[in-house]
Amino acid sequence: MVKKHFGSKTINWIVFTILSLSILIFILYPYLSIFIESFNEPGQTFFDFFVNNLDLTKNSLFIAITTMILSTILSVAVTLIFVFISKKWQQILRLILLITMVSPPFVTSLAYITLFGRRGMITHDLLQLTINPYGPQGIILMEALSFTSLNALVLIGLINQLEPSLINSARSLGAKVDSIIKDIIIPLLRPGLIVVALISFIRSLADFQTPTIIGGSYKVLASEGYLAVISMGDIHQAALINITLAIPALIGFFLYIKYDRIVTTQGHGNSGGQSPFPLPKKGVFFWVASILSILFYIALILQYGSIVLNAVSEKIMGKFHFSLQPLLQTGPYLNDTILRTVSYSIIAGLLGSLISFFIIYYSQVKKNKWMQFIEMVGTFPYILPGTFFGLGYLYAFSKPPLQITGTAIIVVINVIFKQVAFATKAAKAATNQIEPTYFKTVHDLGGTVVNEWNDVFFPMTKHGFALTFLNGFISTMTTIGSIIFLVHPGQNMMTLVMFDVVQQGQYQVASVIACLIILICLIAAGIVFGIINLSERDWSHVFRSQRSNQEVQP
Amino acid sequence: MFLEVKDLTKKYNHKTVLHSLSFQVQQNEILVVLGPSGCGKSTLLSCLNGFTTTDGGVVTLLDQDITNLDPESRDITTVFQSYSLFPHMNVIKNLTYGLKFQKLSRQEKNEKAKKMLHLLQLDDYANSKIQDLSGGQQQRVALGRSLIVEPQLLLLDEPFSNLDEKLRLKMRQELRRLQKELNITMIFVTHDQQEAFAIGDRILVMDQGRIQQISNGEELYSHPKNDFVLKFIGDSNQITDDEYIRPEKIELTKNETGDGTITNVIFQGATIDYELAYHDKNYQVTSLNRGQEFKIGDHVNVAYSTDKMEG
Repeated sequence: MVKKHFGSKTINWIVFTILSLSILIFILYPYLSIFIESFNEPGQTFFDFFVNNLDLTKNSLFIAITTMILSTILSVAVTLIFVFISKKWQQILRLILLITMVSPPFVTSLAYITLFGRRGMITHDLLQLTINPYGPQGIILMEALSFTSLNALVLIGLINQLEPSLINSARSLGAKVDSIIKDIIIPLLRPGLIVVALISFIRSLADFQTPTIIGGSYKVLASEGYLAVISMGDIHQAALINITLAIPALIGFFLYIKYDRIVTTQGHGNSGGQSPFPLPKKGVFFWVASILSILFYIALILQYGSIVLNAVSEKIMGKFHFSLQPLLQTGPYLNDTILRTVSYSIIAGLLGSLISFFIIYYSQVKKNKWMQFIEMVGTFPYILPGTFFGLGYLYAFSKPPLQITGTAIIVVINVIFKQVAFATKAAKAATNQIEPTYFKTVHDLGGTVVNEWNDVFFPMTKHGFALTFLNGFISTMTTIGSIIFLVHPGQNMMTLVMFDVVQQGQYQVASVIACLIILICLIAAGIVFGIINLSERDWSHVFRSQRSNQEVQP
Repeated sequence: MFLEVKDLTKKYNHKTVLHSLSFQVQQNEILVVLGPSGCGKSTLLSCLNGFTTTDGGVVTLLDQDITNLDPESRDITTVFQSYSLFPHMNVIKNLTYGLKFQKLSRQEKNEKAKKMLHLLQLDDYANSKIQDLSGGQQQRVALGRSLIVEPQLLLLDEPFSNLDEKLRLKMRQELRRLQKELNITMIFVTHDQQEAFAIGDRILVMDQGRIQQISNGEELYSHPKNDFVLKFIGDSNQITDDEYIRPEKIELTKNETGDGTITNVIFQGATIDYELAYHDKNYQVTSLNRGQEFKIGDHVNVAYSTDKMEG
């Protein structure tokens, strides 16, 4: 008896086509549009622009490289502390690092101004100084601080994957703590260090908010690209700037892919054995790492402390009093924005994850070559600056056949497809946990592709799916670059409102919004982890390996 | 013919891993495919259950050409080495999973499930979680899940390799019992010759993508067709190119002036392995442990008979 399974084959075909088309239309097409149109449009050519604005490129590279070095050093220090402290402390510090990643990217700058600005709590109120904090030093410091949490989490993940016997055997051979770190830990972390450095480099290039807020008269490509659209409405100029930005970002990304592969394939250690940590608290590395880490955590505490303080207090006669005034002040700025932001974030989290998991089903489980290409296209928004993606949407969707600029739908589509880059990575990690024979078993017993989805793929990746959703939700709540050109008055998002009020000098209102964003993200995280824990079951002896331990996206 | 494989060929990147294999399987027979790892036995299995496309040859099951059918359309099921029991379903759900795709009433399904649980001696475990079962019980559920859909042919890919020795012996008997009760045809892949002897009606010995010999266990051992089969199955002392002596066919008797000298003794429990120096050559000898073992340096008389390879 031969069954044909037409229904399943049709559904399979439809899903495959929708995935392919949507990625091509909403990711590839916008990027292509920028390149094609900006070279065809009348006006300044790319070459002229580049030569005339060499300073901008120099500034950008200077900031990006210095930030990269500083943030990498800081992340190594924060990471190394983990080999000296107990499991309990590791969990606490890890949680702190994770929490700092759920805030909008320019919170650090906001805190910096309220602490060290012309009317800053520390410089002005405490030390009676009036200094100018604006300039490149501020940008570098703020970016380095805010990138360090993610960097450290990546490196800590690698430390945990080190083969314990390597360190234990070095110790039994007489290696002191400093030699263990110098001879074993740092060399093994090397690919991770390169990855972390490149992430910082790419993020710094793309960051337009920090330079806009605290750059003062110091100009970089990203902030000029932003201003070109917002204050001058010169999309052509913005496109040229973004293309310039894309070149170093692309170079960085290709290096990143190379080392990231080493990092992900290296992690096969942990063949049981005793955990080698904590190591004895001594040696040069311990003291240097401790001092840097303490400074880092103090900066974090100051940062969040000042924002919370700003959000719930009022300064009367130079003294802080608890007050709901800032919260009340914020009301008119937000209106229905909170509800809109949260719903967009939920939609982006859900659809972004769904699309990504389907892509990974075809590219990873089915090993489909075309879908592997689609997956690669999907990572573009991860490589290129967010503003570039937003600009691409402006170019691509401001004219027929798809004229949707100015609508709410373009914002939603943008945040959905921006998720795909990271969500496919997370989906891959979750899918790798499923042994391939599960999929075979379904077919073997007479099931079809649809049964693979219903009975194996989605049920067995549901934790990964929940985490990917959470990632999508948080990154949409805190995103700004890709949507800043697309959002029209009356359909604002919380980060955009916050960015506006920071620029207007309304720091208290900005602090309230920052707190709200963080609060909403933490509540969402609480709900998702609550659900995961409720449905937690120990699959360990049927499942090949441990549950995935994915990091939360920046 | 029940199952006929003809000139089956498979290449990976221009490297041929199956060299036009041809063999047949009778109804209600257990054919064991035996070979070292990397010999192509798993690829052969994949060609039969449809997860790998073939590069030549024909597979017919009950006179129907199934070479290019989807796995789900073949009347063949597979028990994978890793069991692949769904961790999010309980025992009964796992067991009846394949029945979802057959047009059966709920009552029919339940009846089949009940019968299968009984057959597997898992009556009390219908609603247990998979992760609460022991390794042997999980193995039985995996077996039952493939059997319940009443396939024409059941394939088993090293199914007992994750079990401990005792359990493995027990599962072999269970499998034979189930096979008799259900009258089902099976192809069983293993690298363990004891398992092959214990389970197989016939054994297909494979190496480097080629069939080396197909026959029953006794034939393989007593009349190996080539060097590979000789060396792969059991131990042997090679005398000439096609002449050999099995270690248990050498008989030793103690004699102070004997020509043979014991050079090593390895105690195995029921048997004892000796290394013997005899006429300038070394021999492996296996004797039953009857409480009269030799010591290193003992001189012995040697009696033996040689066998000839049937090339």
